Amino acid sequence: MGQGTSAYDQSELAEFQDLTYFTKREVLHVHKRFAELAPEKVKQHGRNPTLTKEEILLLPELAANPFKERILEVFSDAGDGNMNFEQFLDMMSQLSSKAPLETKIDFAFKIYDFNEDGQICENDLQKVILFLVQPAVTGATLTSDERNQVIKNSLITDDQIKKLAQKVINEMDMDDDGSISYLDFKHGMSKLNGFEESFKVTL
Amino acid sequence: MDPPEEDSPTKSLLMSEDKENGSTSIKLEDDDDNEIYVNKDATDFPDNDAVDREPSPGSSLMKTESRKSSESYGTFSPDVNKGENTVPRNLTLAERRKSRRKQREQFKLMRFGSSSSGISHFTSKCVTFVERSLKQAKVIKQNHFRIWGTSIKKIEGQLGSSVCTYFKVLVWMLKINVVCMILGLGLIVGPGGYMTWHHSQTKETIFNKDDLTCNNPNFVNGTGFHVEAVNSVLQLFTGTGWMENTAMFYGWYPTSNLTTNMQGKEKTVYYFSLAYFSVGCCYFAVSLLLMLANLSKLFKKSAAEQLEYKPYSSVVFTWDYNIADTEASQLRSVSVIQSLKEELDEDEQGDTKRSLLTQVGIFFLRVLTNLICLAAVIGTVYLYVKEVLTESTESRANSTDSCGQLINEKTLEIGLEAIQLEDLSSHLAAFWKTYSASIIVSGSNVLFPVFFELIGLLEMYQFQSTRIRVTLVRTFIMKLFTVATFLYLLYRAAGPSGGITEDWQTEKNTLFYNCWEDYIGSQLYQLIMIDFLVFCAVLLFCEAFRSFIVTRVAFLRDKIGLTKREFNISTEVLDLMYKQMIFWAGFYFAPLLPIVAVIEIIVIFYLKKLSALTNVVPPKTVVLNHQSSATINGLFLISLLVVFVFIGLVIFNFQPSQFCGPFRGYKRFTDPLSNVINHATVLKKFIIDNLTTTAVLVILIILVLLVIYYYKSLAASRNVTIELLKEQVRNEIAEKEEILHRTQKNRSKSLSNEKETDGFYSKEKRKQLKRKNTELHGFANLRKSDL
Repeated sequence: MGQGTSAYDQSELAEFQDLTYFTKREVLHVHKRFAELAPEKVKQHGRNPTLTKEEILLLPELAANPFKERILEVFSDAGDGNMNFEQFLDMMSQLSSKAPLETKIDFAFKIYDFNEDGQICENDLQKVILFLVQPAVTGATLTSDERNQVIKNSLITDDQIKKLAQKVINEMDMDDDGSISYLDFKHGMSKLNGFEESFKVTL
Repeated sequence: MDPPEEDSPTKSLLMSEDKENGSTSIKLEDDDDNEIYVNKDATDFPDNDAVDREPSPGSSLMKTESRKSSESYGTFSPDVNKGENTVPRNLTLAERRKSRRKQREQFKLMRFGSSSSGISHFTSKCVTFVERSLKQAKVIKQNHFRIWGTSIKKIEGQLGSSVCTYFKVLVWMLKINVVCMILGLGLIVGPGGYMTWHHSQTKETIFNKDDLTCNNPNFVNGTGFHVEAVNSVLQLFTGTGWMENTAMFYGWYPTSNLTTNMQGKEKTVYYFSLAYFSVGCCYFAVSLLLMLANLSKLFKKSAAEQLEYKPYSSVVFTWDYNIADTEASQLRSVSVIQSLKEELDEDEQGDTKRSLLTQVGIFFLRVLTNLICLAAVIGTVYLYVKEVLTESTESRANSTDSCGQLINEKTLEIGLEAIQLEDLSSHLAAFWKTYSASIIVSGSNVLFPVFFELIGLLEMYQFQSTRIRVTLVRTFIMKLFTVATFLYLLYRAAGPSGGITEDWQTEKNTLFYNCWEDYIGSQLYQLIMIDFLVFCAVLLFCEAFRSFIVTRVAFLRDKIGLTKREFNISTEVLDLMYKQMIFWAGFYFAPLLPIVAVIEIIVIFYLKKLSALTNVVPPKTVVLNHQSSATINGLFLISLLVVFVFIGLVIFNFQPSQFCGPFRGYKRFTDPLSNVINHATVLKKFIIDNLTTTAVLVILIILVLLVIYYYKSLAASRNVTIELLKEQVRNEIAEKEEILHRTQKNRSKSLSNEKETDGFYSKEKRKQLKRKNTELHGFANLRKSDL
């Protein structure tokens, strides 16, 4: 299978299989998709090349997702979105259909917690809603100021966003501290049936 | 160390919370405090293969496996709650690899040090090998044998999970029909074919259907090869003519039983008539069981969600990550925003939004529109019945030929005209005559949903979801009506031939149809064919053509805003349900129909997939998956019931044809069964006789009702417990905070000058608790309807 088999031998594949939710075949498949994003770099480095955020965002499954940058930030070591193959594999494994619910909830919490303080506060929620609106505005990526401008003008008002954020907190917050902690989130999402099915990316 | 115990399940090796399990385990730790429990008798390091993990049930809608919770890779996500609100730390892949390697080494050391006897070593190896291979087979089956798995994933990526519902329903229908097909082929077609062949080998007289084909005149009159060919092809679609003599329909099957000569005595090995009858019942039983199994799983899942209905969170946090297409995500985003805004509007304005006058006006408007819909449906049904009935009564006015058939003056007229003029209109007239029933049914299936949608728009519903639901209900009722009418007409048509009369072995010539079961079978087959053709035509013209225009002609797209056709899930799924109803109705009369059904489903899948990927736009409003799947299942059950009633009526009221089919010579369809029972031993007869008395039935019904009541009250009591526990949790958290607050206050009392209110709970806290309590009791969660 070309680059896949030359880069990793059987024992390493077995190890990958052990460490992620993928089978060996799927690991190779992920490697293939990874290599397609930046063939030059993979040829040069082979083993564990680091791709930049822009290159990874070429992946169509991620490109259509409004939270794509946040996903990459959560999973990269440096927090800036550049990741090597192992981190990419890890990310895809946790996003796959085989990952258990708890892993997904954990992962979703990290994504939605924009300021990374361990709680999803109102600001975080407002950002989430803004991100949800973004694909509707245009297909292209705007800077955050442009985006907010367009959104304010057309689809949803600032006031509505604030109210929505407040409502979500009212629903999910159980300990009444004004923001959603990990336990609140976990409790809420495990009761939501649609969460598990919608929270996966298959390559 | 405790002495080793018997059972050592392999998969428990990886669970860090393994203390409840009885097996002995050794704890391995490494530098980073990552622990793993290894069974004492384990011979290999427990690798975390795919075999040991259960895949998530994301695959099919109707199939939901129970998942084992907890399994991360056991050790690799320790719940280290160092502070109050920290997120559990997940290690990166590199870190995990490091700790895993260390554990492996430790394990090797441990293994190397100890010794175990040869036999126990060997047996444990055998056991683990067997278990692993079983699990591996299961994983392979789940991963690689998901029917059409890759196609569904592709569609999911482009159109979202809700459209996938349709395709998952198709998969599930395929499963049911395949099961029916195997039943039918194995138990009816196989033995029937064998018996026919066997008898033809022994050159006995033909004992299948001793009559000519009767059910329809030829379309193209004349002689010559091409005429024959055209006729044959047309007859393929009507299920008449040459098709009647094939194994397709009821009439072909023999009535005798399969016997063997054992020790000079003839012993019946296979009661064919009885088999036919029981397989007919089995179709329904099997379908019912499969559907109930699915429904129960779905209910469990959706029941939990009904308790805590979170309209906002469920929309905000469940963005569909499966969508891989920018256009689709754009549409989805629009629909998400719309539903959020709707929810917000509803909460704020409620039912004081409209003035009383408007409300009254709207009420009357809706009454009017409902009456219009009802009138339309009933009108169509009435016209249809009238037309078909007058036709057939006219046709029966005159004499019959040896077929006992519809050929009369009118048909002869048309036939004659066809010979003389070869006129298009007479062809059309003949065409219409044959196909009228099916065309009306299929046509109404296509046109009525559009009509209902327009009316729905007219009725000015506040929320899209109610409008969609109303349209769905109307379409469902309409389809039910049309199919019920069709079946009723069949019942009436077959009636005169099939009614049980005094001298039930009547002669041929006074019957209308020689083989009325064949007639029913061929009419149903015809309906299926026409419906399929209409389906293809709609795909071609409404979807393909429209998308072609939209992509090429920019004017329409930009100025008028015409888009590709929207994939309307509810209509499509109802269409599938309708098809399945016809299949079920036809299974009894046409044993080869399951094969046709399976083929049709496969073809539909690929056609729809092609259309969905290129010509169609995802729907604007998103329907929640699990609720809708339970509804769909429920609708299928209702349709099964309707068909079952029809078949039951036919079986119990009509007399089998005397000249064709496996029930020749019997007075009723249930005769073979009674015969077998009567010839059974006295004990069996006694048991069966007593079991089928009404007393037993009544007792059974009462028992079932009691069981249902018990479970219902159990569920209610559990709900109450849940509410109480929730309240308790909230109170405890509030208490904890209050205590913290107090201790802080005590500490900083000297420093701050804040005033303190009396009481254990401050006023604000009391208010909050009260608000939460009322919410718990569900008042705030009631959806304010607009009707």
